[in-house]
Amino acid sequence: MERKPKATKVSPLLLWGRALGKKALALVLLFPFAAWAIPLGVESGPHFFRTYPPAISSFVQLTNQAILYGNSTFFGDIPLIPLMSGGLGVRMAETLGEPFALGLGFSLLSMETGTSGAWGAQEVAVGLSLSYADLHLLFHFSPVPGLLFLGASLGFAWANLSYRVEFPDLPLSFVPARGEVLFSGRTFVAAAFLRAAWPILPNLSLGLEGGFRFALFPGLFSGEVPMDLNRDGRPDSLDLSGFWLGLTLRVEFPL
Amino acid sequence: MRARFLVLAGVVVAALALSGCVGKFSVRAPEAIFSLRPTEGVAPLTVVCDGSLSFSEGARISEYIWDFGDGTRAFGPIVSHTYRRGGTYRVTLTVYDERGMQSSRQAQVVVRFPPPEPDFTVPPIPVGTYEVITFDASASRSPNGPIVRYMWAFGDGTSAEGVRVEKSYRYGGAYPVTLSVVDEVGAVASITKVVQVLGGPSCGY
Repeated sequence: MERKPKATKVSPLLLWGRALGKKALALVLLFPFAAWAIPLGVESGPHFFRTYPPAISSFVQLTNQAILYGNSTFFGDIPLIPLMSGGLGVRMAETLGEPFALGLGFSLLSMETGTSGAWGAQEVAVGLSLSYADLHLLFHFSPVPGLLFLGASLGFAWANLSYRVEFPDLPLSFVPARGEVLFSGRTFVAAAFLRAAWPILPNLSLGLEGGFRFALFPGLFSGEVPMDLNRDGRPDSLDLSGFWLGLTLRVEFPL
Repeated sequence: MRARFLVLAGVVVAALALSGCVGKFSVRAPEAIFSLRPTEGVAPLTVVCDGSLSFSEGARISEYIWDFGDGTRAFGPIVSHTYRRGGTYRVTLTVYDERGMQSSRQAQVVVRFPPPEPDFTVPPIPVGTYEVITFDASASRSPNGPIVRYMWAFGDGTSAEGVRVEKSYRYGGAYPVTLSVVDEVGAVASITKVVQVLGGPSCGY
């Protein structure tokens, strides 16, 4: 009995490949990059970021109320805790291509707040220290090549919150929990930015950029224990989304 | 050149404006925080509840609602409440701000029951050995309700239970008689009185 051959679907790319050969296909696919001369850009710089993580702001404000109560009850003068509102970080990336570029980058930032003092013999110390890192895939487009960049990134972020509190028992409905704990979490992160650059030397430019980062950590944990800073019995999420303003030094190496 | 400056200036202004506004993007509920004075004591206990530490970011707190955990409520930033009976009560403050957002928080008040007041009669004059003495604790009282147990320790190593008990001593001497009573809520109190028994230590059968 004669067997009929099975009909199979063949993709156009495969057909091209068969017709032209694998090397030719690779050349065709890489042609756009080759046409742009594929500049390799290395960029880095400091950035000032602004964020008011609600969980931390709420904790700071509640603790400040407890400090106010303690100051008035024990005639103390412990300074209130400044809100955690942002800080200085650093970003670094490598991109390939022009005016469309793809690359990899990372950001690091940290911020902290706290206070300390004493009510008589009773020590009071509150310290929060937050560190953040992300690794992201970067895409940017330069409508005015070398001068204006529009970019977006998607990646993965890690955050650590170091919590250190020494606080007396007060007859209040909220008193910060005593102890020293490190909470950690991770999440996806996305960002978008706009950069205006100024060439200062051949292949070297200084840019000023503004951007927004979306980084919402659904929960931070210390082992199995979820973070609950305001002690309402519900785990806190940590929202580090916010704007940044940064300086970027970019070096281009034509490949 | 001018266009470049304009772009730069635009980026700076936009970033500064947005970074200044970012805190306002999230509207947070008010926070109910309050003090209780005292947080424990013996009934009747009057507790002053001060909710004036509560706050709301960007709005004024318009309402304070207190639930004292014993079926009563009150309104206002600072209130007081008297707990008549012992127990552990959860005080809840709920605050509303002008935007209608609310939050609540709880704290605990421990009210101890007042102790019962035990009392019993002793013979007004010394008694002799082997003479039967009736101890009567029916004069004992408790503000928490009826007394459910009367326990006696007669000072000679013997004990008994009951509102009225009889006892005789084999030897003369001064015996401290202790009555302990327990009321229906479990509060305990004791009283000790001395009974004089005439007769030498060797007197007996």
